[in-house]
Amino acid sequence: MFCRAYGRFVHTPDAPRDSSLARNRSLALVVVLVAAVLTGMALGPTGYLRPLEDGFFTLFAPLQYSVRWVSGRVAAAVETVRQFRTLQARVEELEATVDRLMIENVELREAEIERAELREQLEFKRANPTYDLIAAEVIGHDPSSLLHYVIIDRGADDGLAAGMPVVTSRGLVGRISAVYGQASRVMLLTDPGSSVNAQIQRTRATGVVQGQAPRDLVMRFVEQSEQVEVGDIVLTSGLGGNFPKRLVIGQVTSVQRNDVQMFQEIRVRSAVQFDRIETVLVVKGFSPIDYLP
Amino acid sequence: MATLQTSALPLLSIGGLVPDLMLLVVVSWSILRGSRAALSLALGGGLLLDLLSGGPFGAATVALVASSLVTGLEQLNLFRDSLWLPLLAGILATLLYNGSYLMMLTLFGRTVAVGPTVQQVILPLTALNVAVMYPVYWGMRWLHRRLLAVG
Repeated sequence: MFCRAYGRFVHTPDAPRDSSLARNRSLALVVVLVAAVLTGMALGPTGYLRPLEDGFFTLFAPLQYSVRWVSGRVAAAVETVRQFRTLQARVEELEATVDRLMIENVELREAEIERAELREQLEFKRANPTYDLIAAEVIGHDPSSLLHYVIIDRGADDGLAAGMPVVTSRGLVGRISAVYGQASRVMLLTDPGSSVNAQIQRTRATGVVQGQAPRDLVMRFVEQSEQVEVGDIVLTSGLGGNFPKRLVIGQVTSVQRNDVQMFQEIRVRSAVQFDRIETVLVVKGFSPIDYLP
Repeated sequence: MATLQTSALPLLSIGGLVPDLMLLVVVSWSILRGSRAALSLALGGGLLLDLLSGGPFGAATVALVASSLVTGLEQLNLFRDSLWLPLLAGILATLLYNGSYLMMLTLFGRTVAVGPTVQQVILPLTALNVAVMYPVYWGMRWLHRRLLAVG
């Protein structure tokens, strides 16, 4: 077959008949094509070529459509791949922006909480101008769940002494039980060893508020005859000289009266969230009488 | 460890309760290496806890040493790879430690309502300690094996 094809283009003395036939065929093909072109050129303007054109497009239009459709998909895929890298970079950029904004948001919220706390402390200080108050941060808690102490970052260097009351704007927190150079330990009201002389604001009934497990406050030694109601405010009475008068301890949540008991048992809820305290105020200008830690 | 327990863990407290991390570490070490090896850890850890605590000085040390001595018994060491061991050790150690601590508080004249304390503090704390005991024990076991391989 290669020889036959080769023979069409190469004249060999051994096959004169084949080469002349091939040449004649080629010449005939050229003549036909030229004639077709010339005919087309002549008939084109007159409109006689129209049926031929219609038939041609009837056959070729679907093929063109198919090729165009495939080409369109390929081009779209190529464009997607090209855009992918751009989009990826944009997503990374946006993610970094979101992370940065989230951090800023957290910082702003913390600043807002701190501002609110400081404002409360300032208002408390303004409401109690006679108290010499110093702010302190809680830096640690007692390692045992049986005891309720916190450690604050102020100590003897700041003029603190054992027995000084510790408050927040929401109420009494406890008192300093031990002082070191730059830190102090505070016994919270909810510690089982804590006791504060208290009184009901409305009726002036007196008693003692003590800490009770798990983190409750109970007012004891209130006589059965006293009319105590849920919602009554409990304040420090100042009796015994261990705490200043009229510091808010909490609010009565339940009253248990028993005819066979001498005293009522009153449950008190403090507005202070003892396991969430972050900053406190120490009443520096108050010296308790005969404080024994 | 003591700093973690007093400054970081309280921020993650559940119902005001904080896992006894130092206790769990000491008990895990005691199970893995025996009570003698854990004794110095119990003494040092207890000392730090006593310095940081408002309770009587020495109460945490005594409670920690007692817990490590009991959990370091040879019989328990046989089951150190069992899945039940952290559970049992956590329960035993928590009850021993807090029971001893409660006793020490009472001996030193602190007023403690034993009934409510056991019911509302020690029992929930036991459950919390058991949950934390698993990762602590596995961590200490990894450390123990690394030390064995090196030593």
